[in-house]
Amino acid sequence: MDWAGLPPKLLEAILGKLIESTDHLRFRCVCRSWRRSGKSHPVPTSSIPWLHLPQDLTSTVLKFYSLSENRIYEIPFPEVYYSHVIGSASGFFLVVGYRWNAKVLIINPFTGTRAHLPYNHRLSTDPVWDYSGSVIVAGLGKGFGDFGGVAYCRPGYFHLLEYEASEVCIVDGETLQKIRIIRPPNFDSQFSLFVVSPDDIMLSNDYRFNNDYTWWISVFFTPNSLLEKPSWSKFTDIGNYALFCGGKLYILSEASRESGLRNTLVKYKPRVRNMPTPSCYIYAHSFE
Amino acid sequence: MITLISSDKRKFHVLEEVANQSLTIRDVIEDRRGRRRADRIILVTNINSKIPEKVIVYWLRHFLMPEEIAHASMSHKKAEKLKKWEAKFFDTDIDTLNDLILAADSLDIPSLFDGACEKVSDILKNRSAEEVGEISKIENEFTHEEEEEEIPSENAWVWRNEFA
Repeated sequence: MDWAGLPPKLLEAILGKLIESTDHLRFRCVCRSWRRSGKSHPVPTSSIPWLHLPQDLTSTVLKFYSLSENRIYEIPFPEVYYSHVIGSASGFFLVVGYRWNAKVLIINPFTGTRAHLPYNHRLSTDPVWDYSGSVIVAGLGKGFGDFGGVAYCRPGYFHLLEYEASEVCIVDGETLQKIRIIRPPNFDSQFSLFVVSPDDIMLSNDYRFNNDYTWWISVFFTPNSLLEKPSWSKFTDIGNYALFCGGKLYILSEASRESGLRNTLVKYKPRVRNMPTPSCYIYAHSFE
Repeated sequence: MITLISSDKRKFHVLEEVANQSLTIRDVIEDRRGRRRADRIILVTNINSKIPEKVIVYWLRHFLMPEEIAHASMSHKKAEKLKKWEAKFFDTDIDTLNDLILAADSLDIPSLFDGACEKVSDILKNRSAEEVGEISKIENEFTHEEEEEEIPSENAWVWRNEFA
């Protein structure tokens, strides 16, 4: 019985059953013909997410815990020295230098890919969760303030969202050239924030009145597209949807009348500055 | 009745309805319909006699509940039973699995192919390349240089770490 001589088609059928990326990588190391088949087959994303374990600043490895395999993997990656590792998607991590170490790069520890982003602003280090699985997200602030902007990436190109919502810069993921700048509609943007989804760029402009706890919110949208000209439109009605704004991303979710969230913006602000313990605000604004 | 002849000249008589689970055989029968009896003999040259036995056992088990499998309307209990049976069926040495995969591929029996591949992948899971090499008797053919250079830089971390 010749396992090494199994036709590529059949090897690939077996590979297709291996759902852990680590199993794939090990498969490639058995022999040459397995290696060829392995390389022509995309490495899967593990079905159960890996946990990225906390690490100290001087560490030069990325540590992961694989739930399904119940083991810890340490992937050497010298670039993470004195850096924060923020947000991940599709195997990519955004690494942001700490203090004097002003660098922003995108790494994929599983393939060894690394790329520097053309950005040397200081970034805030709020971890940001990615809902869509196709974008990289990170807080991006100029100097102070953790409600700066946001940098996010999806396959092909990156978006860099400026602090104070003054512009969105789109950068080609391969050449790292700026290919487009999108500016917000003309209005006082002092309390504005860019929030993104894979389809749209949202600009929310909100005030909180100090004495009573009421909010004034206006929301603008433009399609998140390279082809179309930005056409900001003010949002007054989302009908049977609820808009959830968490960190730097948003999701639109269908909400029935009964749930009470219909036509509502739910906003989640992860951290309040100068608070000893992590805390957050959650507030809702109805368009009706 | 269909007659299958293995590479070591053993004959297997199978009901046409049973053998129909192989799409290859079904097509052959379809092509030769209405001809003489001799045409109902099918040579399976690339397979030794141990494998047709297993394949026929598999066919018979599945033949007993074809409709239910097709429509996934099997009762929970029956499904459990079939699952247990399949687990036992595929619990065999890796060489037989190799043959089963080849046979299922050439005879075009999707569920058998799938099951055998699944079983092989279970065996490969969580094993280092060395272990896999030992099980499958694949010689480590990478040269010293390749092992030193290319492979470690790509994914040495995959097995360098101990189980938690």
